Amino acid sequence: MYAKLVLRNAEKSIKDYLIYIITLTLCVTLFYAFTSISSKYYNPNIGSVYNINLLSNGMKITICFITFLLIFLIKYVNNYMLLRKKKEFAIEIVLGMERVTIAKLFLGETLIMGVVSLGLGIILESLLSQFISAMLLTTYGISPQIIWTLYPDTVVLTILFSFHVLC
Amino acid sequence: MSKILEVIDVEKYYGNSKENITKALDGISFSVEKGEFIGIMGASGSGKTTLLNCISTIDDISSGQIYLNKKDISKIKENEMSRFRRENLGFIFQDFNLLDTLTLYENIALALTINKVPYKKIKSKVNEITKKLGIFSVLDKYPYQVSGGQKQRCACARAIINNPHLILADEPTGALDSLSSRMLLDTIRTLNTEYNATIVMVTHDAFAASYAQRILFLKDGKIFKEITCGDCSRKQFFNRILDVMTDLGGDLIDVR
Repeated sequence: MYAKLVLRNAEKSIKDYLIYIITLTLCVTLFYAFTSISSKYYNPNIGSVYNINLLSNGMKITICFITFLLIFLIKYVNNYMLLRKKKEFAIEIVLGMERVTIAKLFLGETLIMGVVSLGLGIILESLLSQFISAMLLTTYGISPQIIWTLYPDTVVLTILFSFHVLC
Repeated sequence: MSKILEVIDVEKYYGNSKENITKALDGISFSVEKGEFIGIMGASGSGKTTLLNCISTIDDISSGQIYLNKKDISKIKENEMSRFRRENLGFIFQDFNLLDTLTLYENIALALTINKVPYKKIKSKVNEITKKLGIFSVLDKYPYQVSGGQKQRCACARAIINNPHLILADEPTGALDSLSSRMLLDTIRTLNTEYNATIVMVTHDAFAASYAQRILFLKDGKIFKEITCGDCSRKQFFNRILDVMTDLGGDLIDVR
């Protein structure tokens, strides 16, 4: 029954709170895109002349900054969601549901939406990183080629980031 | 007959500065016997909703005692509160307050789940009560797909399903047209007669109040008058209510 409530709410929330999903998706996309450049698995064929270590180090500072901004953004959207669900919480309290249960239900809902955003974000990012990659390669005067790769360390980092922000 | 609810000299103030104090309830005492159907009437601002909120543990009182089933509700600790609510109280609101994401069936079943009723018993319980209240055929629909009357009867089913000691109804007919109101009041009476539920109903509608057995009239936070139906017919009782309302004056004076 509780599981049903969580699923239904998440389902409805996906329709109603598209803004939440979009924000999260964009956050994940940006985060992943920038992190992927600094990944150690990222070595586009640009010849031995250039060293991109400097670039990736600079990128790491930028990432920290962006992460900071994103945390504020997500916290804001989270508060907005809580406000929208106030009435539902009130009904559940009046029916005699324990506060802990209500909190768990909301956490479950947020997690489902987080996972959806994460999935969408990583897919979107794969596209975006092509552009960034291409841009980078063109700067070095090399014609860009499409490489579809998923960087394991970046994926892990992105997932960690998302769950940290959500909880 | 045992007393299910005892309200003793209850006062409720709003505001905390000395000049700016509002006495919403001013020394109210009454008691409700098991199986009684009691109405609380009064003009807006007379404190009827405040009284209901105090009885329902939503609001706390400034002084006095409220005993529900021999338990002083102002002394219940926060962590026992949800347990107390789900075992003792059932609520019917003016604006239904069903969860939009669940079907009517699930709305009623949720109340049982919260009360830790075993999964296997839920279906038969819900089916039994909804057949009685005439909403069995719309159980699979969502609240926004059914009429206001059906929503409110679903809310009634949700309120009675755990067999609470007391059902509190706050203007249950407020959002309904006259036909749905009548059907709903019959439903509430069914809860009272067939399930032996004790009901406290707040209303400002004389017709709705005429379904009760006893009515308390509130004015400025005090009990102004109390009338009992006894053996009279509903029509006679309705006329007596109108008489008292005329005495009450205020914004109810135009009803006749």
